[in-house]
Amino acid sequence: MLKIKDRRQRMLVKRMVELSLKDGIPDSERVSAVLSAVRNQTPRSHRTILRAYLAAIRSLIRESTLEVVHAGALDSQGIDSFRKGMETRMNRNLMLDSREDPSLIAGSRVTIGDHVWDASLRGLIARLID
Amino acid sequence: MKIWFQIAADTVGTAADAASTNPITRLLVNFHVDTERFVAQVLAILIVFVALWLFASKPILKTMDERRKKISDGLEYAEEMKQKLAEAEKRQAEMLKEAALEAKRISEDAQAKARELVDRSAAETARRNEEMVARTREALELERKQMVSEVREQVSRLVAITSSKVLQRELSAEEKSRFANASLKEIAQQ
Repeated sequence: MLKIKDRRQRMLVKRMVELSLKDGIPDSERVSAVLSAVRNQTPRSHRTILRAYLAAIRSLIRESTLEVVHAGALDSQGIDSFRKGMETRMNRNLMLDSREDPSLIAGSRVTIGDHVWDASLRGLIARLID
Repeated sequence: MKIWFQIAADTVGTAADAASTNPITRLLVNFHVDTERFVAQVLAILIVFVALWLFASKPILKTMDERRKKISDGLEYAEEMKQKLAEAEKRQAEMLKEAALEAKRISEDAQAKARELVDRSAAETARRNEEMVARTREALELERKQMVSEVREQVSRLVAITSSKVLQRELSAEEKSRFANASLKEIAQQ
């Protein structure tokens, strides 16, 4: 989150972010509603506020996204179970973002925010090389 | 003197008896000694003597005393100077001795410092040479490691590329799917 010197503005951004969440995850409808409210009221220094709000939402999306990159098809039941397991581990709800990448050769790579788990064959070879 | 007065008295007292048989009287008569003149001469001599004693002898003695004193002072001064000269010579000898000792000490110090400087310079040179050798070795080792690392990296890349191509071609879709699901389970268990 961008640092805002004014305490009222900081509280406003915090409140906007709280209103944008649904089960701890940024929700597009709620974000749209918050943005429309801001557009209607146009608070003072709204550019700064919106910039801080954007940074906070981006950070939350990044922290709440379970990115699974895999080589080969995944079992839908298995990946759902995996998501629940990771939510329990991270103690928060996660959005699943799954995509296939043949360059991994085999296996998968999982990313949540700054955490990375690489169980791909390409990563294994890279680690062996290092 | 007394004798002469006695003679004079006798002469005066016995003038009438000049022709007596007194040998002294005869002697005076024979030598034509005039008693009055004789007395006058004696008195004159006494006066001259007293005058000389009063007016000549005293200044002369005084001058002599002064001269003697001057000579004595001069001799004392000469003696003092002699002692001073001896002391000065002695002091000069001591100073020369001290100067010689000081010069010797300075010379020894200078020699010691020179030796120390030479030793230090030699040690410094040796240390620099060792440092240079060590740096050269380190540089060579670093270069060798870099070369090995580069070679290893190139080989690894080639191995990785080859392995990837081989595995991509060899693995079936089913195997890839199985690997992917297994990897997720593996991550979940970590």
